[in-house]
Amino acid sequence: MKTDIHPSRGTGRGTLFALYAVLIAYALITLMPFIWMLVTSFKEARDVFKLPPSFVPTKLFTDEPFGNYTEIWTQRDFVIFFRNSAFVSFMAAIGQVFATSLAGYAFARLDLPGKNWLFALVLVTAFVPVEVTIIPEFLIMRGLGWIDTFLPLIVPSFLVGAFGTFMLREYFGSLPKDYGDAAYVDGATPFQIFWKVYLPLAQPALVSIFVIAFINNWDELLRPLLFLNSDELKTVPLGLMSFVSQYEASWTLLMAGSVISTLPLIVIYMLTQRYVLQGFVGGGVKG
Amino acid sequence: MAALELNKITKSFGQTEVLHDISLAVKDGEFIVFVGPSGCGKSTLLRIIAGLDDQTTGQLHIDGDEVTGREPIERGVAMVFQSYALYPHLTVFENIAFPLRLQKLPKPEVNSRVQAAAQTLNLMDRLQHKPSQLSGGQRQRVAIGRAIVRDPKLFLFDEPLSNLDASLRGAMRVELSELHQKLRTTMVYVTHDQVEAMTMANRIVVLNGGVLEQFGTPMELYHKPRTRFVAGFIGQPGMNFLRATLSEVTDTGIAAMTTDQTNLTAHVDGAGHSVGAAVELGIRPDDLQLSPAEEGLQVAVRVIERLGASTIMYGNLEDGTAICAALDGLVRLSPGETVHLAIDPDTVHVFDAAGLALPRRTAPDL
Repeated sequence: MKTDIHPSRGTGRGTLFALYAVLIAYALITLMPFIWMLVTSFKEARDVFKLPPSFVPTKLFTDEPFGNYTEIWTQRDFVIFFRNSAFVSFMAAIGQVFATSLAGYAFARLDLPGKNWLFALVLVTAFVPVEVTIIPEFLIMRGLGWIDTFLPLIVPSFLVGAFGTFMLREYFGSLPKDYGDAAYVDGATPFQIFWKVYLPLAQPALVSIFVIAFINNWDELLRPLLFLNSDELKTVPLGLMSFVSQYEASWTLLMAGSVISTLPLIVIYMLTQRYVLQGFVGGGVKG
Repeated sequence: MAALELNKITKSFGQTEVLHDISLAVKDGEFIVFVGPSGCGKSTLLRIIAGLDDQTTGQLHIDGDEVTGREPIERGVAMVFQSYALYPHLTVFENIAFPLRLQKLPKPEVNSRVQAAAQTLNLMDRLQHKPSQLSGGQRQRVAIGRAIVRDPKLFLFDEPLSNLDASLRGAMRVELSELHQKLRTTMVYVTHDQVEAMTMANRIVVLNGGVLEQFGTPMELYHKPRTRFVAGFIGQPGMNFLRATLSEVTDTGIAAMTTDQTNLTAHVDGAGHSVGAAVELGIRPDDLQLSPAEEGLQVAVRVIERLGASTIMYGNLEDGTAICAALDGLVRLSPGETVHLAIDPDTVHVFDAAGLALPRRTAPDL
């Protein structure tokens, strides 16, 4: 059956109006926390809990309109948190691309005995909640002497990734087998076939994996909280936590920090959006 | 010394044997075509020669060397795939250069060999294009370029023209034949299209259900098919088959009564076959002629196809057996008419109940 993908075709004006009204309302509800965060980051501290609530960014009309931003950037070590997060997230994302591309390729293309059982085991790990594994993980990291280093946040990403493995297995599986056969006849080794033929073709999926892993690691709070103690190793989520303590909370600084921490994700997504979409669609469509 | 020798090759997938005892020897520089219907095992056999699949039993020699179990690169073969298998992320130049880069040849040598291949295949102005920017024919040439640049002992082609439209396929057939004349390298070509096989091959291997039915020149297969299957598969339009009973066996040939009670004679060796045996008579459509004397087969015309140089007539005998005749020139016939088709006994093929041909006494000198 053919599905009409154009909502305006065959739809009355009234229905269309209602449809847009619902969508706009939904968009506003979704965006409200972000708008509130942005507005609060441009407020004086005393205006945050003013009643009735106000959307006026009061600080913008003072001598220091970007005061909250300059304060966290210059006086609150936010540059260090930002740098740490960028490093950890980048390395962990690279690790995910590395591990899942090799695993996904092996599961999709190599003739290995029992590979489907192994793949099922990898998938099962995706259904185990992090709270279950975090204590053993902590004990392992402590045993390795890696506490208060970035290693517990980076190294596991080089070893396993159920979602990425699944996605890349599907992606590699959808690419024609003839490419590999042609390269094999021409003298390529199995690794050369992976490296020179299939990996470049999986670029959209690899970019998707990178972006997802980067975002997950950028937002990660639990692991850095457990594994990092020193102030100079703190990541952005830990840094944001430091603005809220038992007795006081610097809400305007927290919001300014949150805005800054969101920016890299938005930029990365905008730059890679095309690949991410291809990555998700490409895996499911045989060409 | 044979360029390629297969000795009792079999291939099984689990309990299913898909190739049965295939033995053949290909001479150096020959253009060999494996032809047969879908699922006959021709592509499997090609993949075994390439080293992409292993045979279950049997030996394989290339240029006199036993290559069973060796990697494709050690066999000195290059292969062109049905899908072309061009790497979409690489330019035409890089696609052709791919095998040379794997061999880590020096850059100037890679350049000169790619340029030479591109020159041969008329691809000089396309070297910096990506495969997606090329037409079907150009993609095919790039795939061939990637094979010839390696200067292999043996070229393998797996249905390389099947993705092209009819006119391009005709043009590429000529190009491939010219390429073979130029390179003089042994080529093994797989197709299900008997026209490709007949027009390009020095010799043809006809496979059916994993069995080698016949290995011979196109004219041998056409004029002296060894089995009913080969007779039916080779030739366009296909051979007519009439069920009949042997009524006479003489020194010069046989006579047989068809199911529509026409007595036909054939100049074949009927020794070992007795009167009353069930046979099938095979008559090529172009060996049938209109008989003004109203002799031969009586046919009710069903469809007429006028091709200009010839007229194809489809009809039925009285008992319903379908008959096709390829008549010279423009023949004015209409559906519904009844005509008589005369048959020269020299052109009639006879097959026994097992589908084996009785040797012809008067086949053209091949």
